[in-house]
This record gives sequence, structure tokens and C-alpha cells, in this order.
Amino acid sequence: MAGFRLIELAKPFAPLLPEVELPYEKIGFDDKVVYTICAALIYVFGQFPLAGLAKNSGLEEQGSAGAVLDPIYFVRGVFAAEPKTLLEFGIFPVVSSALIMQVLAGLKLVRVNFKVRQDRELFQTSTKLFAILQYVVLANVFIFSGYYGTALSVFQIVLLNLQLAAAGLFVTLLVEVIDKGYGFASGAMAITTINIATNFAADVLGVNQILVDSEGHREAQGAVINLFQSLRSSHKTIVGGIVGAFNRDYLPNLTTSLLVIALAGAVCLLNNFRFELPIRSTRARGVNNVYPIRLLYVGGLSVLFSYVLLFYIHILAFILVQVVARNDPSSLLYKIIGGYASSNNLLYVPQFPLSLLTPPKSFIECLTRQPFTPFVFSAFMIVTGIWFAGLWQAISGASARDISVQFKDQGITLTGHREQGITKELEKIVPVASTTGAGILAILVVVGELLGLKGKGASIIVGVSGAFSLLELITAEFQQSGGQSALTQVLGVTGA
Amino acid sequence: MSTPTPPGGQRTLQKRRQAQSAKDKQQKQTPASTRQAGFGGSSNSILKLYTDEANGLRVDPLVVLFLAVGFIFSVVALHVVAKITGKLF
Repeated sequence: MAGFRLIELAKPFAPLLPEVELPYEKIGFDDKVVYTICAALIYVFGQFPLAGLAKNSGLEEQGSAGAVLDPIYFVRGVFAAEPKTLLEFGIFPVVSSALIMQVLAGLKLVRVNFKVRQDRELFQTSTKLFAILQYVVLANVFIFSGYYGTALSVFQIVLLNLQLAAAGLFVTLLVEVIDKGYGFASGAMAITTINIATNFAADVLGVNQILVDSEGHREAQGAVINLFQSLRSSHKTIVGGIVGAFNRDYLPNLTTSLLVIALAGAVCLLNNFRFELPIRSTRARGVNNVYPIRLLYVGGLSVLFSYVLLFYIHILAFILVQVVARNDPSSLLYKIIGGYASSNNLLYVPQFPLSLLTPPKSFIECLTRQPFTPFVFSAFMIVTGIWFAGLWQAISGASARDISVQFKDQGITLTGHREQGITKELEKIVPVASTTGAGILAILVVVGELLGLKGKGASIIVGVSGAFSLLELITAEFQQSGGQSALTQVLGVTGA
Repeated sequence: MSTPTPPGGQRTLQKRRQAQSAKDKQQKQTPASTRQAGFGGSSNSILKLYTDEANGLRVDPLVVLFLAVGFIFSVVALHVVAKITGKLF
């Protein structure tokens, strides 16, 4: 035994953790569609309110000072998390454990030999264990912070723990079902993408009526629906209705919806930027092609990683300020880290210094109340994004060296270069593309967030770039299925 | 003292090739991820977490899906019970 290894810790738990079986035979294209949609639908249904919350944690008590509100509202969108539902933490623990473990392994801080089957299995088990553990720890942080009500009975605490931990376990397993080859490519990304799409549709076209003031007026959640509704509502003038539809701040408004659409368009555009390397076969003469290297080489993963760090920072601050210091302005921790101020009876807005890493609620607020936030927040996003992209392209098995090995196996070479020179040539492009792409994406996120999208900007960017990454694999798979799919007609592919 | 061998020639080429292959081998020795080791998993833009079949409690994917639905319905049931009895505890 050469020293102690972190992944060995997972060994005793391995027999207890559920493990989805690998498929015995290849799953067909249609089956994959069904599995992916089912898994994502079940996840969406998981946005079900928690049972056993304190009765007085309703609106009445939240209005009073001292009620604990949602401290991580601006990262929820990215991780498909919904407050006070079974998906309180969404997919965050799964994504963060995977990213953190992989980065640690890449930096050789966790010693794993990926060539040994046993090590890989142990690494996977420890990743899963870490994810479930995070669900349990986060659940208890929220329970003991008073987020679910201040005077919880023991029974309630047990019940909440059970619900949140079981929900976490099932989310992990749903991701695993897709990852194991029953669904398309990546469970975490398929689920977040579908969830972000659902939320976006609800924000634009959602018809459910939400109580907005004490007089009992209700407004639609969807921005477009709200516009039409306010045009024909009796208590508003036409101009007032239109102005309100564009700048209400308690529900999605048309301005944010348009901004989100603009960001999505920008990501689509960026996704088309690629560097095309001319390649030729070493075996056959005259077979020429191009090998594209996309600008967004690491896709939305860099943004995801920055948000994982952001989540950790804010949870840590929440533990210190709320659980330890009870958000008491006179305490030392409050003075050092900054406390929370309630907003709209819904959100817990961090104060200075913590507010430096918090996207502002609106652009005006950003200028007047958090003038330093743009600098610190954008520096944080860009630095972490670029650092991650640089590391990830090297460790993820798609670095210049890996591609050149792949080329060699397939009998491909770059036109105009010797086979030995391929790695060097690719090294000029791949790291640059991935870091530049990550930097641009980070700037896009910062622009969106500083304009007051409250996490919607980041989530649409992660969603769209994730969707493109998935789409690439899905179309490849569809073409390989040889037109056997029953969906051929629907997808409009002719000549299959 | 013999004169040093002139530069170039076959020996240099051999040395270069050896050095290169040794370097390659060393860098290939400890892959940093499952995909780099050639066994699937996360790629440059896809986060794929659980791809190996580890030891553990084997479950069928359909069982997972049905249990997940069952779990959500049990929470629904909890709400119903709370509504009827007025109190859960």
C-alpha cells in the first residue's frame, strides 16, 4: 500500500450505494428519447413543495423581520433548483461533486489511476457518495438556519431530512440512468437544459396567476401573457399596463425576457465560431476534410464551474452569518462578511462585502448600491472560467495530445504537417480556443447578470451551450441509427 | 582521445525518437480522467459522470424511474394527510 488515498474512503459504502445496471445491448435511438424525456419529466415533477414545513412560514410570517429567506436565489437557475420544493438544491451536488472530483484528480491532488478498472469504479462511487453527502449536509444547513421555519419539531426535522435526502438520491440516480447509456450523453446536462427551457417558457408564456399585492390583484407569471392581461385589466391604464409589463420587478418582465433571448442568440452565434483545420487521410490519396475546433471548446462547463464556486462561497457565508451569527447586525461575523437584507419577502440579499460576489437585482441598484460589484464579480467569473477552461481542456481527454493520438489511430494528419508536428500545431489552437471561449462566455454572463437577470442570464447561457453540446451527439447518433427511428418523419430527414 | 562523433546522422535521429517516445510514455502513464484513459466519461464539453459499472446495489433503470415517481407520490400523499388531519405531527 503506497500511502493513503482519498477514494479508498468510499470503499465501505460501495455495497450500499445503488448502482444502475449497464444496458445489456445497445439502446435504440427511440428508446433513448423515451428514457431521456421520462427522466427529465420526473425531475421536473420533483418541483413539488416540501411536506412538513412550519405552518407559520407562510406569507404572514415572512413579512415580519427576521424570517429567513432564500439566500442563493441568483444561482438557482443554473442548477435547476426551486426554493422550498423537493429540488431545493437541484442538481448542484451532482454537478459540483463531479467537477470538483475531476479537477482534483486532474491536478493529481486525488490519486486515481484511471487505467485500473477498480480505481475508476472507486472514483465513480466516491463521486456519487460525495454528491449524496452534499444533499444531506445542505439540507441540514437549511433546516437549522431556520429557512423552513424557526420552531421545527424533531419529527419535522426528520421528515424534511428524509425528503431532501431521498430527492437527492433520486436525482443522482436519474442522472445515472441517462449517463449509463439509456439516455443521450449526459444526464446532468440533459436535465438542466430541459429544466432551463421549461423555466424560460414559464417566464415568457406562463399563465398561472400569482397574487401580487395586498388588494388581491393577480398577475400572470409569463411576461407576454401579463402584457395582454394588463391591457384589458380594469384597474390599470393602457400606458401604465405597458410600462408595468416592461418593468415590474416581482415577476419576469418583458425587458428581462428580451435580454434573455438576446443572450441566447449571442451564444448561438458564438457557437458557430470555429477554427477549421484542414486534414487529410494518410492512407488514401485525395481524401481531404476539415476538423473543426470550436471557440466554445469547453462549452458551458466553465460557467457551470464558476457558479459551483459561487454557490460554495455563498453557502459558506450563509452558514457563518445565519446559522452561527443568526444574521445579527451586532455580531462580528456579520460585520466581516456582510449580512442579509430581506427583499420582497422572497429574497435574502447579501450586503457588502458579500454583495461584491452577488449579481445585483437591477442595473440601477448595481450603479447606486453596489458600485464595486461589476469589477469584482466580473473578475471572479472571468478568472475562474479561464482557469477552469485551461485545465479542463488538458485533463478531459480532448487535449491537443489526445486529439493527435486519435488522428494517428484513424490515419488522419493535418495537411501540410508531419505526423510528429500535429500535437504542436494543435497545442497552438486548442488551449487558446478553450480559454478565449470561456472568457467571452464569462463576459456574456457578467453582462446579463449585471443588468439584473438574477441568475436567468447565466442559466440561459449554460442551457443553450449545453443544448448545442448535446445536439451534436444526438444528431450523430441519429445518423448512425440509419433511419431506423420512428421519429424520422418528425425530425424531417428525407431520404432515410 | 578520440574525436567526438560528428553531429547529425542516424544516431541523433535514434536518440530523438527515443526521447520522444519516452516522453510520450511518461505523459501517457497517468491519465487525468476516464476519457483520457480511453474509457468514456466526461469530454471537453459534456459532463458525463457515471459510466462504469461499479460494485453496489444493482438496480434496473426502470425500477429507478418507477421508484422516483413513487417517491414523489408519497410526498403528495404526505400533503394530503396533512390537509385531512390538519396537522402532520
